Amino acid sequence: MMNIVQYIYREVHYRIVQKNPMLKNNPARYNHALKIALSMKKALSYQFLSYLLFGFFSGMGVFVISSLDVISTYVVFLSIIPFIFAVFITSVQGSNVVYMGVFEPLKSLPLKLGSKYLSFYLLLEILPSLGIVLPTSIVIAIKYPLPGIISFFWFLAGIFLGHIIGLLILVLFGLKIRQRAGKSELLVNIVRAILFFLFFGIFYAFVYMQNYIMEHSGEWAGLIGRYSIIFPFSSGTIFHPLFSTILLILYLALLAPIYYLMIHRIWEGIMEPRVVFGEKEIKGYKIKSKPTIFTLIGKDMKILIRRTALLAGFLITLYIVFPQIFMVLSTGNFPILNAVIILIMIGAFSAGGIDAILKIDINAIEFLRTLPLRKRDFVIGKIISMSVVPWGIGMAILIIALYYNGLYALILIPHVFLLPFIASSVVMLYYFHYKEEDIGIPDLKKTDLVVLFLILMLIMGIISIPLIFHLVWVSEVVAFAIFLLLLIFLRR
Amino acid sequence: MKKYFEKIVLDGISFKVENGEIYGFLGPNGSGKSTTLKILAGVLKPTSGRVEVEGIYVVSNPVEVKKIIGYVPETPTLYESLTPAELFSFIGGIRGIDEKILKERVNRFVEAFEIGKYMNQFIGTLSFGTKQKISLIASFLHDPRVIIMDESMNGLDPKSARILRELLIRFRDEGKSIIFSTHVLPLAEMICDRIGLIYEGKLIAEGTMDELREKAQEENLEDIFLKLTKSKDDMANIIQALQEVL
Repeated sequence: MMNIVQYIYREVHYRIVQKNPMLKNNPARYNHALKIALSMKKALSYQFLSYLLFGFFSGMGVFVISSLDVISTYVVFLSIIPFIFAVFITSVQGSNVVYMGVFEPLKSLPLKLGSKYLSFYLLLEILPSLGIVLPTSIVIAIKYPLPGIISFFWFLAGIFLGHIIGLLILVLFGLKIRQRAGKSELLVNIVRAILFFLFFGIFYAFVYMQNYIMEHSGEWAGLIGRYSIIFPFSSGTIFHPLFSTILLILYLALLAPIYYLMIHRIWEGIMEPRVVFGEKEIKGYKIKSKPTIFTLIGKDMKILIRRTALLAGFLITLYIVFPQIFMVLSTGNFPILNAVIILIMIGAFSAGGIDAILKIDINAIEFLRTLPLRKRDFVIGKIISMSVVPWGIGMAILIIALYYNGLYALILIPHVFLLPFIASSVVMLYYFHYKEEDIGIPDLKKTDLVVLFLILMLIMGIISIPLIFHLVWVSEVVAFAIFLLLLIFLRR
Repeated sequence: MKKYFEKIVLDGISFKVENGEIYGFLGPNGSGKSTTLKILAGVLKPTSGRVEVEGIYVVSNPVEVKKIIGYVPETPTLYESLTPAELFSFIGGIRGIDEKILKERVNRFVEAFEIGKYMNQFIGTLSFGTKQKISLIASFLHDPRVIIMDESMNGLDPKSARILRELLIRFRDEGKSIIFSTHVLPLAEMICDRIGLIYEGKLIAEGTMDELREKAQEENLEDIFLKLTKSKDDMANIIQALQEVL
């Protein structure tokens, strides 16, 4: 059993490293990345420890709480995190594993239910998330032993439930092979991307969770009491050990057959993927030839729309700035200065889409390298593709600002377009500043992301300085100067 | 020379392909054929040495070289979420092919390789053979002066293989340079003007069929290949060993 799970793990991570040409050109980094990626124990332990650090702070919060209602509410909220991990990793990573063809060599082997290996592999990828909740369970167990242990089992139950929901998503969306491009695919994929946001939205809420729980624990205690049999409220029953344990057993009894059913359906789907045809058969085909940059952007947009996981990453700027926009708008007015601050924030977070934008080409990078494509054109194409979503959000901000402030809001136009372009250019120049014409997918290391974040903050800080004196137009002149400077770098 | 980390995979390879010539590049699996062809196409860089295509240095000017080359890789790695029609449009845009000419060429190739019914399907859903046809068309669309093909007959149905063979002969007659690797030795024997034999990263023999026959003292290309790659003597022992376990 573990041999096959290990094979899947190694194969998936090997392919991820292999598809990174930037690593291939750097033997030392390649070997290091491969060493870490192929060692299941090392990689999972590293992830677990990272999450444990996060979980440690969360556990410390519980340590100082004495109210049982507050602790129950805390457990309810916390149990959502491994649940979301399980849903997300199962559906997205599961779909990727099948899409990569990792199961192809297994198809010809006499395996009865190969999907159980996929399930175990995915559970292995999910397990490090326990690091976030484990310290809390330990802290509760120190103070109240039995509820502490039960809380841990509820976290495990959350993972199992999330895993089953992820498997259901996989059965419904992840194992189909769509044959033709249809117009409805954009809508369906946007809906899916929004669902991903909702999952992540709960992570965002975690930041505010502690304060919120302190203030509203009384209301939640009532809610937990009322809906105590429904997850995640059920995990708030830890201080009624007998009831909570029976509930856990009932959950397990209910989920086990569903799990088995899902595993069966997934294996059928892997062995014989369901082919979905587009809305209608198109008889002719269109061949167009556009200038290089437009060709590159068109290709990026088509692929983003067709691959949900990429679309979710592409729209990440929207997800990051949405709560801020919501908070500002909820005040009932929208002064120009607030709009500028949001536009600067949009600009700074425009870089968030880089991962999705670069992953578009990861499978076809060798093909791309056979074409007479200049690195400069590739980089400019990517900058514009990366700026599409921030430009869209910026336009929405502009419209709202026009509604509240009249035509004066037109002063925002340069910032709407310049800031995302500046941020995207900085990111792309950072990764593609090497001399050679080779096009590759850069290795996005965490340290690079931190350095990039600091650079972007510095640039946005410089652009923001005139705003201290309410000089929006000066800020725009500064932005324009930086834009011109970047254009010179891009030309070179 | 080409090194992968510490391992030397190509060593001292030197050959020239003339205009209007089909050059067959043969060798056992893992001998360095694909690496050599990728270096010629500007996809990989040599660790040392000089590679020139039509007088342009590949290492220092890969983009200019790629403009005149049509490269067909061993395994088609295409954008799986695009349709063939979208992929050909993409290539047309990147290569700056006039839309009218592009349409005309696409239509002709699509008809010849009979892939019209797949033009609006995602490439990821197509069979290996169909992907191979798409990869071939993609590399011919700009009417390249130099064609580099890495085992491109793989997965093709007999009709398409025949069309491709005739096409290569026609390209040669038009003065194009063609270099291709293959394991189909009768094909190489039939259409190649010269053949290079690569073994363990070294070019061990090169010449016309007659020159190779003379060198190996064997009649057909299969025997020449086995003899020069020192595989012939092992064959009886290998087959004997297999018979013992099966």
